[in-house]
Amino acid sequence: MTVAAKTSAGWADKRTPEEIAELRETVRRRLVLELGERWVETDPCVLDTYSWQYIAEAATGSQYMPRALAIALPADAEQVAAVVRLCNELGVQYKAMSTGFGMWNSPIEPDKVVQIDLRRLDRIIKIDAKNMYAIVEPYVTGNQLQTEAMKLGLNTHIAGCGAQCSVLASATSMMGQGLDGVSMGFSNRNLLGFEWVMPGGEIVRVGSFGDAGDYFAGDGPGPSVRGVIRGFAGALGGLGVFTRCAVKLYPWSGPKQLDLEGGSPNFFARIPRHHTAAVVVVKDWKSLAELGYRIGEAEIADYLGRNAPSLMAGVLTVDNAEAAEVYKIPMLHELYYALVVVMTAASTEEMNYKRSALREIVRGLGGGALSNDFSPAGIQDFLRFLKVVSARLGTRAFLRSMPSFLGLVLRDARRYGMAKAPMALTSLLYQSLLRSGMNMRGVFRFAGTFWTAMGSLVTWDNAIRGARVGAQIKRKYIDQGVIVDDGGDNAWGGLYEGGTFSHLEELAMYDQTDPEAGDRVAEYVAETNLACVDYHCGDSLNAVGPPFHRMFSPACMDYDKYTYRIKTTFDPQNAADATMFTDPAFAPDARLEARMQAVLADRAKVSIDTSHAGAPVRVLAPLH
Amino acid sequence: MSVQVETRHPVDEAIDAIPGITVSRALPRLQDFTGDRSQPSACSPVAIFTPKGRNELQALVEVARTVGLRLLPVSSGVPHYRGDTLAAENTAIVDMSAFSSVVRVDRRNRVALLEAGVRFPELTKVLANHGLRPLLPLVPRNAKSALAAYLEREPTIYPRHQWDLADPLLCTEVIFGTGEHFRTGSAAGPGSLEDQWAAGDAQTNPMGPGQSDLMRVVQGSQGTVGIATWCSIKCRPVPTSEELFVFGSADLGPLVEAAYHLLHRKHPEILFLGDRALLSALTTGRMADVASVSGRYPQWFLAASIAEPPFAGAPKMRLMKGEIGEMARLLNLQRVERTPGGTVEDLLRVLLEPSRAGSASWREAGKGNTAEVFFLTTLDRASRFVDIVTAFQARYLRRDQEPIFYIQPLLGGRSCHFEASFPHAPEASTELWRQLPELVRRLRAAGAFFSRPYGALTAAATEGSPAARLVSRIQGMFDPDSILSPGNLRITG
Ligand SMILES: Cc1cc2nc3c(=O)[nH]c(=O)nc-3n(C[C@H](O)[C@H](O)[C@H](O)COP(=O)(O)OP(=O)(O)OC[C@H]3O[C@@H](n4cnc5c(N)ncnc54)[C@H](O)[C@@H]3O)c2cc1C
Repeated sequence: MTVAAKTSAGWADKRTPEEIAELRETVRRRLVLELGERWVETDPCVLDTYSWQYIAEAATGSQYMPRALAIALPADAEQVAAVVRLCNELGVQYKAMSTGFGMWNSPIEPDKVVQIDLRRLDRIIKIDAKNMYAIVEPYVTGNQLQTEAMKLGLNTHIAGCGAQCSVLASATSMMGQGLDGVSMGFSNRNLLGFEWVMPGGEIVRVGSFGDAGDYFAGDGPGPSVRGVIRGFAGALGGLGVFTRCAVKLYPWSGPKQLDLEGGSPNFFARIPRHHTAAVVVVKDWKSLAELGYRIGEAEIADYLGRNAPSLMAGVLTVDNAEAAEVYKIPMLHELYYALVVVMTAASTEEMNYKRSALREIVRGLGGGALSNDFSPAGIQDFLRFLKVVSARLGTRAFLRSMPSFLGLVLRDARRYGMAKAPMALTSLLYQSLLRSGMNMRGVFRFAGTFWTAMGSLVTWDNAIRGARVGAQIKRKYIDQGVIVDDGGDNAWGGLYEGGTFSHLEELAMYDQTDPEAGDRVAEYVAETNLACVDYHCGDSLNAVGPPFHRMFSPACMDYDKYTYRIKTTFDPQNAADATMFTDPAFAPDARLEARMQAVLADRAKVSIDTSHAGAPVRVLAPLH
Repeated sequence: MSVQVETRHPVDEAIDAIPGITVSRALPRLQDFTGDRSQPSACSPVAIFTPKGRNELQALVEVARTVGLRLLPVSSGVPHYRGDTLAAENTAIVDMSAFSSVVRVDRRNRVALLEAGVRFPELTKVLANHGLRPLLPLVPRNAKSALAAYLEREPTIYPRHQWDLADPLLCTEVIFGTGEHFRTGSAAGPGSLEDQWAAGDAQTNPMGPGQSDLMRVVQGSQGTVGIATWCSIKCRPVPTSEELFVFGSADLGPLVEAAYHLLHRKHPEILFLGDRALLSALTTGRMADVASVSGRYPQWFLAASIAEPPFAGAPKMRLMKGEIGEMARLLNLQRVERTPGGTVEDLLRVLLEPSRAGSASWREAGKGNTAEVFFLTTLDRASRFVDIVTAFQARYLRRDQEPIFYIQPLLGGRSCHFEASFPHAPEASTELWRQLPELVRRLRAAGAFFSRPYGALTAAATEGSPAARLVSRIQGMFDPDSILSPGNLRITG
């Protein structure tokens, strides 16, 4: 069998509307027998609520993905398995979704796929505080798990998609980047044991569960099945359904509950006593590279990331008008070489140590910091912060910034009260980082939506290289007026596992209701993918799904043929919809082909500047 | 009249197909692989191939597939203990010793790239020249290949730096049993390794490429999926100062509490637990003479080091020492100042190096042989397994076959490797190995998870295991003719 033969089996072309209706009815009736009337949906209105999806326009040209055949809402793993077996029996495909944030949980072709909505599997099964892991079902969100974990002195990695997203989806099936990566890793690497309804409907509990009755380990016996079910990205629904998983939790030296006041959109988070939130600024890319490496190696940061000035302007404000004003302040506008940091500690002594370490690093690089540290040393850091910014801006622009900057402080005094105004910026930073809550303000609000590019998991030096390449490509599309002018460099990301690897993705905001913008952004993504290959910037975070494997697989050891081997071995019937997973026979349609031709005909000029990177490392001996 | 059809030996066919490949059929060399410490006499391999590089290795695998020769890759030197280097019928050894280079050490990214034949002493030495050190297992034997240890998910003594059970392994290059050549993780590309280095990348991302993680299926497969030629590994900076604490207790419980506390606080570099026998074996190379040590050394100990961080090091050291002192007081732990073999500083030096050339593994404790039983569990379950092993030993094993207990927290304390090694005289091996499968069954019944089942214990360790059924499917994808390591990890669940 080939996936292509199955996915383009011609139903869409050959089936009559009556045949589709009959199939839908058959599927519905059989599902009802398994799940009960209430838990099966085929009403077109309801189906459309599932289809309205983030970046649907990339696949369909509209904001809607194709409709599913039916929606099934099983209650537990056994029911999931029953649905999967039924799909296998009826020869229809299925696709799981957990919290459903993005077009990748929808079918690509209409009326062929049963969408398995896992919202009824919504329990935190267990938090083992001593052994620092939690067992969750698919509909448990980052927010819910974090709230419960903090009560026990623990915290959880939350991917950058936000705290409203499923923990399990990122751990088993999707990606896992987030600004807590420096201390809490990447979703793939946080996965322990898991329960897997395999593509044919058999339930298998992977790892320690079979013997120990618990999920504390996910590898073995022998080779790890974790390597089968996902890579840097998961199978995006293309390899069965995950119904339960254990994820690592991390120590949390903070209160049992975050201290929030106010109401939407102006929450104020009181930063706990031994915590620090800071924006650290240095003078250029080279210093920023050093800064990342040093903070990573020092292991002092719980959250560490890079937000470009435009994204900061979004996060600090409640609407676009206000964002535009703030973005105009030269001081903020030029805050390119900056990292945001949150450090937590269990005692004053520990916080003093962390602050000293950060200070030593930042001062060693000629930088400064704006933080909630109002000690004399903290104030000195702030003066250094102003000095770095003024050196970059020139005195006149710097002085011009002052009234608006003070205006910001006054705004905060009005919103939160005079006493809290000096902490308002760091408070916003703190809550956004802790709850992974930057999306709404930082990316969606500007123009409606965004897509992202570059973002490979590589060294910090190479991530910066990618960011610089991506910004140059993006400039072309900004100049053509199809995406928002966010300054070009809007690279977002951070370091993982103390800096072992890193990612910086180049965000691009656009209006999803403008068909031209949707198309051109897809060109931007295609062009950045080509650049990743040409300039050796790793396999982009867009290296997911057949159209993108076509670009990356030949440049990366033909990896897709192995993924395909996994797919056909574990799912010979191609029952799990693999349109976001693997299909070596994938052939681009005319629209995709035209897009690629347009890109190839007019590629942005890119100049490579490696001045930020460390000195070349001498190879000690050639490979045999 | 009859026609004689000449059938050629697969080894000869392989030699013809790969001109210049180094091969040995000399009996003394073959005898090195005709048995190991767990099974003194097994099948003899038919030859030993020593490929000089990746191209020869790939050609060898391809030829082996066509002529029906089976291959068993071996990267470490003798002695072998676990039965995973024993040849099955018609099997040639692939001696990886020519892959002998530490290729690159990158201090900035704290990563090194080394070939399969590099052993821990060489690795430790080269890394030290660059201000780094390897994440060592507990005093690995001198001839152990670092790549082989990491491919086996051998635990290291640095639990806080283990983010994933796969650590410290990052990227690998592999020749699969199909003969296909692959690089895993970010090493896959785009670009060659040289291109990536020139672009500031350093093979530090173990995931992918794409939507599968083939490093994870090569790891733990005991050579049944592919042959790795090199790998990149996480390393640690050598700290400016480091202090080892050893605490003792008559019971394991308080030390387990201490381990949890230290790991939750993210303080230790090195951390592991063990019994008095382990302390003795590590520091004297011998089993403790109970009479001489029982009064002087507590039954259980925990060793933990703290290292000065690169910035504001002095206040951090003060902070950690203060907290450790307070913890010891609260848990009523006894500070151990001397070990049976010397000072605590001496022990730290022991832990930072592989064993010395010519010295036997600490697991033998001077008795000439050892048998290891190990599995995964969590720290709070450890004491129940101590009881099971102790009761089993008392009932079924000889009095002089007491175990050495070694408990290695993993993943920052989220689980642990539990090990009971049984040092014994070589002549007692056969009888001991006959008993151990039953011990394995009892441990499993109590919740032990044998994630790395070896040799003669494999069947007992995996019977009925649900995920074990997936193993043969994984092997089939990458080695459809079962030519690789035919005696290893053939489990049906
Ligand atoms: C604004 C925005 C920002 C983002 N930023 C990040 C980021 O910083 N880091 C990051 O990692 N990702 C990011 N993403 C992508 C993100 O990973 C996904 O959007 C998110 O994980 C998916 O949302 P979800 O958790 O609701 O999962 P879903 O949308 O439910 O699922 C995601 C995929 O996994 C499959 N899947 C889900 N559950 C299961 C299951 N139980 N069994 C089998 N397959 C399943 C689905 O079919 C789908 O293909 C972002 C997306 C958006 C829209």
